[in-house]
Amino acid sequence: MFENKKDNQIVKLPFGLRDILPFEIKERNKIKEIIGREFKLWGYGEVYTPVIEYTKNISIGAGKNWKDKLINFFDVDGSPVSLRTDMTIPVARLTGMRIKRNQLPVRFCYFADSFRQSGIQKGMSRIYNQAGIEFIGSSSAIMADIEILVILINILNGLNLRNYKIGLGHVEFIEGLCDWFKLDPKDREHIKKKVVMKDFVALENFLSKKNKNKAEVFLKLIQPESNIERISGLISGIKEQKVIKSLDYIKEIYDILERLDYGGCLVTDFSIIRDFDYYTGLLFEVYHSNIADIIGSGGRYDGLIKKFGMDVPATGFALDIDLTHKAMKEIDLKESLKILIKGGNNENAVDLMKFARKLRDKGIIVELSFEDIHDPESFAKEKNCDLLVEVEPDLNNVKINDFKKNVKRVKEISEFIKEIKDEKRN
Amino acid sequence: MKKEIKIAIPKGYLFDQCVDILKKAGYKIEPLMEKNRKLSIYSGEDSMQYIISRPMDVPVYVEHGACDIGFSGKDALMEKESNVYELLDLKSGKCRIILATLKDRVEKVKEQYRHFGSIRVATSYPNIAKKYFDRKGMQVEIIKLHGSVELAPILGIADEILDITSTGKTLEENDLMEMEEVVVSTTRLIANITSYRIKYDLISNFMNKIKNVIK
Repeated sequence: MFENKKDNQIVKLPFGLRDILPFEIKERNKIKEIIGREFKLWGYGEVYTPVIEYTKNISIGAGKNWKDKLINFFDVDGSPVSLRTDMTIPVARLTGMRIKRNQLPVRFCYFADSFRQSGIQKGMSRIYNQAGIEFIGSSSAIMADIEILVILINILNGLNLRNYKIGLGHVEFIEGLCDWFKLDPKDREHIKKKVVMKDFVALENFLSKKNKNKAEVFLKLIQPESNIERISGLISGIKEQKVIKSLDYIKEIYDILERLDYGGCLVTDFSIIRDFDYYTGLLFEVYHSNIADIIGSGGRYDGLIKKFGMDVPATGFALDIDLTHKAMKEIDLKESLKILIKGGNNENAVDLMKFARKLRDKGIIVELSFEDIHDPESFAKEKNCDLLVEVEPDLNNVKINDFKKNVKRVKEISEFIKEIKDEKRN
Repeated sequence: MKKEIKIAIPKGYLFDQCVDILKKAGYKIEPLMEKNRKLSIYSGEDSMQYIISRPMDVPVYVEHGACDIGFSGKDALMEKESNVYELLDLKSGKCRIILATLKDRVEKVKEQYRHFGSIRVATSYPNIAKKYFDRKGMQVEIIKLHGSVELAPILGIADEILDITSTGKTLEENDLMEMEEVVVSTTRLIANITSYRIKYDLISNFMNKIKNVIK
């Protein structure tokens, strides 16, 4: 029915935005249900914030190129406002505005759309549907970081995603390597920019001029490594505190997650730098073999909430629902039995409604048809119905067409109501 | 997970150099040398899937995960600004992106810029052109062409061209003169951001073999 373009008018949408139809929403809701269950089991409370915020608030934590990423408007009083680019900043603002110190730590979760500008030629989506959590104000950084990682892994396993990997990095590691090279602030900026751009050729060229041997070590250290001990070996000659401490931190996370049997999916990767400036410690990204993009990411952002009036540490992650959905092979929806009832007319409408109510009371999905349908059987199949039930005008008998069992029979209506049940769920 | 890598190879003038490097690195290149128009070639011996594509599309295929890795000119990477890992400089396929104009119009173009504060530039690299002139603080009109850019000044639709050159022969034949060098480009090994993590063993193995033969 959706392919038939000649019946439809062609209307354009702004690029990078799209409509979502019921069959996709159904699966998406199932995914959200699995994610939401895990959030709930750990005590995370769901929050929702306005889609629009003041540009100055949004830009507090965003990266250098935030101006290119915002979708902006003017409020009635002329103040610049923007669509949120993620949920971490609004949740940080909310925490600063509404949470008292004695309520800490707090655990928030959300399901929300965020918006980022994209080049028209790149054809990328400008809307991101995310599920995420923010764990704010815990004095034990490491246990808070481990908690969110365990939740993330539970969700990925709960969704039956195989072939995923979580890359772990740390903001301070590259800072420490810059200390080791004794780089001035300008060179540091350059290095970080090249790491963000993933341009290892430029990095090598630049660092080799400073010190060829060190450059080689630098590049080895920022490659993905599943055996963390190998990194320890490589840094044995480096005395910089930031390098040692950040590696120790990642090692401890590795160690605890391994003891919890969660270690298999982890890779260390110190080239991970997110495009938001607010991260201060651990950083991580989720990769899946079916998907070319990063399906989720997160990390520690201890300085952000201070900008909204409360100096508290925090950590969190967001999972992209669209990409997660695409990574999944099949989704078991466990849907209820669905029936299309045909044969309604003006005279029997009330009785037919009562008949349908009795079925719905059993948890069965009922679509009532008063229309003149040319081919009811294929129409019902198109609508994913399990049964087509055609009623006689006086509602004495029903003609049942069971698609799955491929049988047709006639029954008295009262008998039909008695015996029918939502077999698919029970 | 399948233990194979998909690699994008650029057609055209970079093709032979890339194949040569693959050969030196010990990969079986016979499947690539067959004279047919197949654009997707599987080499069972090396577990490699080769995708032959237009040079400008290599970064796009890799960014969107159609290929795990690819050989791409730095010019295409700069133009597309793709979100990919740039792992290795192959130091081959060297060419320069330059700014050129008709030999007998050099003074006229300068005069025109002084007078109108703007010139027209024809190029197949509109993004590189925009960034370049932005950095210089010059206002220009950019006209995008899909090749044979040298024609633009001759036909009078542009004052200058921003184009690629390796020997300078085409410029010479069309009475054009180089005015400025914008950037020097060589071939790079690039990788998709997910493949780089998920298939790191395969990719780093490939990278090391290539590294050993370039100098």
